[in-house]
Amino acid sequence: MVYLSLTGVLFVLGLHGLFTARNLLRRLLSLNILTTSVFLLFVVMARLAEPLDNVPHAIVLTGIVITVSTTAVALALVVRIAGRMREEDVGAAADPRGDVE
Amino acid sequence: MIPETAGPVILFSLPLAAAITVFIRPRWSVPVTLGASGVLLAAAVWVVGVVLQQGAWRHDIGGWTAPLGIGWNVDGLSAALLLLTAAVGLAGAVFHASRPAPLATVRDPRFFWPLWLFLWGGLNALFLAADLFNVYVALELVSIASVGLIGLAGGSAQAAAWRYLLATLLGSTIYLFGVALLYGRYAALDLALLTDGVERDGVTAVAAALMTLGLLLKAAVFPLHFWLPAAHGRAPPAVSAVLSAVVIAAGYYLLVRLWFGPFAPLLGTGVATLLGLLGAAAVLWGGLLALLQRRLKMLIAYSTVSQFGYGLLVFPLAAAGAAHPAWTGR
Repeated sequence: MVYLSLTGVLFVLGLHGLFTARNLLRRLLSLNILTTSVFLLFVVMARLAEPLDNVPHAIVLTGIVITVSTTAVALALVVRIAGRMREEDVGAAADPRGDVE
Repeated sequence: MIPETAGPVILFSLPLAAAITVFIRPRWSVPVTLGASGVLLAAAVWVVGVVLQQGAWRHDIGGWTAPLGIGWNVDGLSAALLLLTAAVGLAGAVFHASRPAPLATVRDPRFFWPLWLFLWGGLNALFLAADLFNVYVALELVSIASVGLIGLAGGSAQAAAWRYLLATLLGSTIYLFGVALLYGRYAALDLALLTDGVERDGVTAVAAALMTLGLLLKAAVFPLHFWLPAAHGRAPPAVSAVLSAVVIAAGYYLLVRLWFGPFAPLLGTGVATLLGLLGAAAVLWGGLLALLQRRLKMLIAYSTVSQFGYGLLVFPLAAAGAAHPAWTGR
């Protein structure tokens, strides 16, 4: 039950961070926390099942691999955007919508 | 006689194999991609032909059956979308290959063809998938490839790609949360198994709401379409075409799959009317903004928002018992 509540807390925390953070890296981290809360939910489901269920563990492992890849793509994009911003205008990188012309 | 399973196997593995080939040997990219595109179109036409002849079928990969294994499901809806993907994919590849180099708006041409083929492979995997987690994996493959393709245009397209990445990852995470709840409730991920077992209760309703929300975000349905115009307007032209035609349709395809499959008992008048209202709002809002645009690509981007609004109108029509006219329009 503790872990189930933790799932909810992490989910809300991630959502809150994603919508309020202005820093690109912070938004990425919030998204990762959000994903982690979903993985925690899967693991809790595995623990609650009677008998213990191993399919959610396989799902979480696959999910972690996918998250690593998406995070890598996002980081590559952040590096490109940050590099371009440094050339033009440092302050604009903090634009909350990330949409800068 | 070739077995019917050869079609899906080609549709799934050929784009991925070709993507790896053109990544290793960039010089071969245009002939390899065009050749693969032709074969993929032929395979899609063949799959459609088989579906027309003998109806839907299911293929359990490696002979492992539903609760443990992964299955492919081919029916009329998925065959139509496979054919659409192949047609748009071939047209986009021909267009992009035939543009003279200085005009092409791609900064790093080496990466265009591998990403293009990965996107195609991801879409085919999505339309073939028969279980909810497989769908998630395919969705993420499609997301990563689309983000890369949008970002290739460089400059302000990278900021648009970033927004698209956040929106689409948020959508798939919310979708996965719903999948986790459904799995906890029914211990099944397979669409066919869920369709038999789903009951009307609180957990299922929350899971359905979360999965629908995630997919609405991915399908850029009003008011969650905010990321679409920038991303589609700034991507290279061939990429915009495939994004508008197929990637958005993938989210819509899953909505239809879910609400006419496992969640059919939940599709009451209330839910259907809500989806229909969102669709109607998208038609009006997208159409209005499309009229106000000065650039052709932005006009097409808003027109995409508007057109997928019409797609959502199928839900209230089906819930009101008019399922046949809802699909055929007559």
